[in-house]
Amino acid sequence: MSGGGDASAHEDALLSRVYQQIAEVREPQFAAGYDLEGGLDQYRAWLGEHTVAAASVTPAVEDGQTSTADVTMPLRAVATEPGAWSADLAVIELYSVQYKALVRLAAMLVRDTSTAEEVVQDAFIAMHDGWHRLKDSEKALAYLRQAVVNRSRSVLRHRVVVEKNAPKPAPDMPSAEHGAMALLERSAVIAALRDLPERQREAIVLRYYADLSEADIAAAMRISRGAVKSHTARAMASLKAALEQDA
Amino acid sequence: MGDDHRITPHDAAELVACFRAHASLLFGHACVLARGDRALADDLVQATFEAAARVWQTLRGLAEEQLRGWLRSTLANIAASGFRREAAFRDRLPQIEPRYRETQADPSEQAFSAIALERCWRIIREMPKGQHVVAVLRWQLGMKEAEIAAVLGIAEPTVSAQLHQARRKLIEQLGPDHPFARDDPEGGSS
Repeated sequence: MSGGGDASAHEDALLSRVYQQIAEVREPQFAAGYDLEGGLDQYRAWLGEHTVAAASVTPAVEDGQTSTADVTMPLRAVATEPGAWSADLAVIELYSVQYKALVRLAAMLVRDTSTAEEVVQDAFIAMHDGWHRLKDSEKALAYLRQAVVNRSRSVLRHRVVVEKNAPKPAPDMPSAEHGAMALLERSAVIAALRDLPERQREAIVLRYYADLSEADIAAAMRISRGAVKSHTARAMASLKAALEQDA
Repeated sequence: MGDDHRITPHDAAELVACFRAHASLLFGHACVLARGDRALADDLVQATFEAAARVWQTLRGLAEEQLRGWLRSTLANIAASGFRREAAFRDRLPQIEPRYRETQADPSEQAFSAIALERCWRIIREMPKGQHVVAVLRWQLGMKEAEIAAVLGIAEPTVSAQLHQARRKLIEQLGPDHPFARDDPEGGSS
């Protein structure tokens, strides 16, 4: 270090100006591409859930039943004695029941099967490591879904960086060897799905391919139910338009 | 989820108007912070306006300029904390104050060439995430190293080390635009 303080103070001033000037150039460009109506829809939905007037609409099921999600049925059937369960057993059981469905879900999000499998396996490993923190084994499936969505997101983010550096032809639809995937091979729909903004794609995939309820989607994506509605509605509108154009 | 803050319909209408007025530019800001990740930027904008709704009683009286400052710094805070859980974020809210005003560049100062800025932007986009967050807090938001360490909950030497690396990468890109360019930008000091 030779006379560090002064030089780096100069450089700090310099870099502040660099950041400032980059922001001045880029912010208006990005701002011009903002989907204001879409953002407003989502925000209105959130406000709707938090305004006083809407308070009476919230279901009063606090007391008594917890009948929220029928999707957890296979899991619930398995988890009869939560206390007696070891992490290993529980995870193996869950794995055998849920693995394929979760891979299908992840494949729709990351658009290739082998990455999807990695994503799901990572999610299982993470859940296994944190099993003691999962007080309620009924939450396990919700936790897994959320982990899969989160991991798919970071895969996509990473992929953006990689693709920027080495542009290569977009990967094709994952091979149809997986029986489940073959059903989805209606390429027009897949192609249209691919063009959707990330959050809208997630909402659609969770709704129609993973068959989740609105509440479960909201939990998996960590957004409000209103936002789920608005993402889904917008996605359906774009899909419809895209498919009609094709036909 | 206990929501103690219920929003009145009147507030909701004001918030929608506020969103309409500020969201686009705020999204631009978010995109720069998120290095072009639109989905993340979208989430940041939503989270910022949700935060605004929670403290709207305080915000509604602010002048337009101050309000914009609050929105920008709140968004930057959410981005910096790596999208912390909402509850944790809510607790931190009262400490956030508009600090944005001071970082305006002096227009009389040198403007860098578009090419140099483009090169820097590319470097910024490829920085490891930790480095990027620290660099943004330091140079875009004008925070001191100690403040950055406190905000991110990491050690100050870590902050210094990451800044040092980011600084070297960026300064290199400025090339001849660097007004204090010394003859040996790296040879002399390492």
